Amino acid sequence: MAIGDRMGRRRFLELSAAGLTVAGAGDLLACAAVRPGGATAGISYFERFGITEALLAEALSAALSRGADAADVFVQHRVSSSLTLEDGAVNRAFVNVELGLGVRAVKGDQQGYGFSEDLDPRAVRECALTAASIADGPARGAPQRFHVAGRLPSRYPVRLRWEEVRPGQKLPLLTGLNARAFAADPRVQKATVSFGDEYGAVLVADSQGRIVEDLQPMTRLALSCVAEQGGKRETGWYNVSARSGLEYYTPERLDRVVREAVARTTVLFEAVPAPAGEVPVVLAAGSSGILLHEAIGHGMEADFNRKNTSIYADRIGKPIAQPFVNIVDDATLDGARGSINVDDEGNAAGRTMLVEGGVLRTYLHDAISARHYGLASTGNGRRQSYQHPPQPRMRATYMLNGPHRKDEIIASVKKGIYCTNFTNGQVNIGAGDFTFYVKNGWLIEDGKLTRPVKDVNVIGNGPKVLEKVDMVADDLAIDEGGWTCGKNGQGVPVSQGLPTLRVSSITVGGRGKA
Amino acid sequence: MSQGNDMLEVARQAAALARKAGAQQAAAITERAREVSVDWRDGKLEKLADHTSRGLALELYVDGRYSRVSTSDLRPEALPRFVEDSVALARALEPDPFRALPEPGLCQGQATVDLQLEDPALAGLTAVRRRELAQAVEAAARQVKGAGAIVSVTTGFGDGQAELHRVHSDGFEGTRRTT
Repeated sequence: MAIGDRMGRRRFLELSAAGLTVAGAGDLLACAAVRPGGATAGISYFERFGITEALLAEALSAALSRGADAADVFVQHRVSSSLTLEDGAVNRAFVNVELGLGVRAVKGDQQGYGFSEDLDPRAVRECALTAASIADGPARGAPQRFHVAGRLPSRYPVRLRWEEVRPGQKLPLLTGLNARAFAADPRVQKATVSFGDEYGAVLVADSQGRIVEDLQPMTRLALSCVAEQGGKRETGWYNVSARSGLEYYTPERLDRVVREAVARTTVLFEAVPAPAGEVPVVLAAGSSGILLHEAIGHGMEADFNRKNTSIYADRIGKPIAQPFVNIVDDATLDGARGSINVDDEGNAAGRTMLVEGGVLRTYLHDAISARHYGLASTGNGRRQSYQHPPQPRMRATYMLNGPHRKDEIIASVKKGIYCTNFTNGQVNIGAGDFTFYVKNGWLIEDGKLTRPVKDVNVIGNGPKVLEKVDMVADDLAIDEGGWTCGKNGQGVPVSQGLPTLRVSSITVGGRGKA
Repeated sequence: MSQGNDMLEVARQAAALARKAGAQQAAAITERAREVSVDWRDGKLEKLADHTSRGLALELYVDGRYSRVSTSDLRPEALPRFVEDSVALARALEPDPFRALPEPGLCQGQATVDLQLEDPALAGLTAVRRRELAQAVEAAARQVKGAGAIVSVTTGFGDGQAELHRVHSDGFEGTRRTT
């Protein structure tokens, strides 16, 4: 979705005040029993890789050796597999194994970071000493024993684990989808199916003596179609993703992937140019939430506000939307791609109310920003892998239901656009300026959806668009697609959603008359 | 970079293991890289990172089929199982008959010209010098006309060294060092 550069100007593409946290605030790892001896406390999955309490303690001791305020160790093992079907054959397979450890030392807002893919104690100590050099003072004491949480939430239990699924069990998913795509519509000329799965775990141990492990599965399936009619070609796709096992791929879900991919492609043959100019825009429930994520959500990440580069930097406690607008960032949705049991700093990850009754309540915090603002972390400290330090990131970001109905919203528009599916675009995170390409949409004429439209761009400013949201329906849908958010060179899986809503006006770049 | 011979040996072992597991051809690529970066913001050090990564990528040609796998888990006890599983994965795929390693003759007579991709002076770059460079860029930004309107300045400096080895099962071996 988002590929950002260091200056914050970014593009996105698919397939390509902590106290207000509703649930989960507090120290997930504090209520633990310390094992008196024997087996290493809190280390289960990583025991096979030689990770011990002594190794972690030594790493933290080195990281704190020059006076850092805090330090943590992040260990990760992840096995990612992908298969691609093209021209009827599954003849591309990729597997990537990641095993490594990152050590971070934090001094105020400053951080030092080092990682090693060699888990030998000497290599680990070396990267911890690198991290330590962010500070320059007397050493601080490190924990020698660690305490574990009594119980992590179980938001993504897996029945058919990917590590036990053989390639031969995955291939029918791809070949079946390919056959069904061609059977669904004779205009389909080409289908590409891509499939991926991940298994593995993360471990976080920190200078407070906390330790936690979390098993983190993931899977994703995408179908892309090329259809032809009367010498014209159109492309479209649909994809699904979740933290789940093979059981995720029910017949109903596979049917939906085919139905949506084919429909999104073939409807484009009937599409007409959209009107150009300032018109009312209705965002459909579901994947239109990408606009909320990109143009608004990023501005609520605390690092941009701590650095005073977000338009929301001085807006806490102030109205930024109509009173019926409520926005959350949620780690708790069962099996959702953006869900986490615990964040990558070992903090509880719950459901954070960002906007309540139209008022900005909090930013999304990691440990550094939480300390900066004198708050508890919201559990948004996330990272792509052990190769990166954490930063504030969204999880599943969506708007809650409002007081209106979808049919009421459509009926209220004399002439406008109904956007159902966005693809590429560009966002300036700090200011919130955006352009998005509407892949699928409809004309609204005299309160009715009349004709599909294509080749439409919407252009605007996220915070101003949020102020112009004047109707919100009661049909919230969380999109099931495989969104990956990019920021500062790191990609993390996210989810997002929206109920149907109306924006009183947005600039639409089309070729028709407004 | 240090331990370069170790990584060349890992590549050789992986190519040999692939052949032993049933691959007709294999290309093993290992790389060790170090990257250092400094972020400087509003008059003070924001972030310091020093990363050393290593990894193996393996291209497998098995019974007319192809797959590409990679791993950073180079523990001696993990490598044989990884290669065996990868060859088994390739066997499960449908044929891709046009994939093959280049003919050995095409890899002979390599140019010996030094493209100067490696700057030895970089090895002498100190942590203090990196900070000074990032700091100087901020200072320069704050001296331009209109700098009074600047809200925040973030600058950064980064450098890296990498050593890559490529070993083919038909005997080709090549190494590239870059900074």
